[in-house]
Amino acid sequence: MTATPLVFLWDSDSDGKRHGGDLMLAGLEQARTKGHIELVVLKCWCDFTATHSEGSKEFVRGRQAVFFIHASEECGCGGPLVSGEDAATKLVDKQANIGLRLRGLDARVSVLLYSGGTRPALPQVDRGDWVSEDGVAARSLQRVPGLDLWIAALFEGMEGGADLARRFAEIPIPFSQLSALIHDLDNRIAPLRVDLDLLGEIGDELEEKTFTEIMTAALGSHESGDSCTRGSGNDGYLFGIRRGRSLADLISMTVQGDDEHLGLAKLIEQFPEAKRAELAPPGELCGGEADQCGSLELLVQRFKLRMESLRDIASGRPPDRTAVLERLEAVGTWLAAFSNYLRRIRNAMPSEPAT
Amino acid sequence: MTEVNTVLIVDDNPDYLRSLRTALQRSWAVQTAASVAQAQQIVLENAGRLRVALVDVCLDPRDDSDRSGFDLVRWIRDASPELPVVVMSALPDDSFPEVSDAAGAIAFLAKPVSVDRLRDLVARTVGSGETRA
Repeated sequence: MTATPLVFLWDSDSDGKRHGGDLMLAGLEQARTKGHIELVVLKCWCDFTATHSEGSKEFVRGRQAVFFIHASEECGCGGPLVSGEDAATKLVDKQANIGLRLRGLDARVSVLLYSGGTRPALPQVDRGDWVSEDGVAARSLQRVPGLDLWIAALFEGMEGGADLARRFAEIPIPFSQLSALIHDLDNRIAPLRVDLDLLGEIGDELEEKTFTEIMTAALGSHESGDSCTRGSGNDGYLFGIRRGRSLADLISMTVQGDDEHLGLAKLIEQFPEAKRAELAPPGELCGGEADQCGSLELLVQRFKLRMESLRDIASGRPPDRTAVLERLEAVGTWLAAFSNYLRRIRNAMPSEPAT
Repeated sequence: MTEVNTVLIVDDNPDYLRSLRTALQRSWAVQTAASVAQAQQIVLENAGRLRVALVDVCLDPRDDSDRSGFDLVRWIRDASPELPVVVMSALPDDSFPEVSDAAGAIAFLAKPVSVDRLRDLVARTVGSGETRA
């Protein structure tokens, strides 16, 4: 078997527009330049199937063939539509024509099926798994900083497909943490956005029943209203525990980090390209000008103060309706600004798309 | 029995289901489901009454990688081709609008969504009888 792996890339996003495919192509080009691989870039799947003609199939004979396939690709030239997932499935299917022919040529096949967002839906694999040695790996691959370097390093001194599988599994996905935190945060504040709109559009005309329902859902219901009942019973979506932590805990963990997550400060520090002036916390998170923030940790204190103020006002008997709405608006504004801030950081990372 | 001009909302977040129900029920009948199975049952039992389905992408509250909302959209396309589907998500994933379109949805909404935008989209969809079929 020839030592140099033959690598095929099918990813139409490798078009110079900072998509994930560009990083994949850049990494593979580096590996090719260093002589670690022979690279074939496929514009369409039919580019590959054409190599199975009698004249060109010797190209593959006896070689290690590694396929990098973007799951969202589609090829319709000259026949039924073939998706990236279809192609990956056929490559590793020993009953399919392509799979059968590759094995007839003594080619050892490895396939990486990847997607920037959705989980590739091959039935035999799950996210992050790699079925190596004539198998297929499916992975949701975020556009991580330095992905091109990781891809290039996959082939450094590589001697076999199993080694490639192990190396691939070691590619970090640091942004998936930030994305997951944004997901959690935006899911929690989605009802608040709707509720604030509802409260705002009817104002004083708001039915007492609807007002009470919204307040109970957001702030919880505490019959006595004293501090002893806090943290128990119905705390509402703003104060309750969801997925093991309160909203304040989520904000705090996002900024300060924990055993599993990098805090914002460390995340920014890790990627120097993100250390730009515009990534300073916006003034609306700090209660004033941006330079008054001092540190990211102050954001957490600022948020907790707003929440305490909201809770104190809401526990009045009877609560001052206007004051409660004002505090609720303030919390909603802060949370929306914080969510936007997280997205700005995510998008400012060197390999993230500018949206 | 579900009324004509019913909106189906599918989301695993009970607080969000309540908020959306409150926002939409002044103009339309609303059915809610917290899982794929519940949504499928409602679709099958209410053929002809549902006018639009709003479907969250991640329907497993314990798993951020869950994308079963897209599976549900594809299922609806097969089971009830006339029913327009709008996909929603709080996941910051730039590929979702494209994936939603490929799955057969008529629109994608990033959470949080304003009430005005939501009502406008539902009104236009119900009013126009928009469908991907």
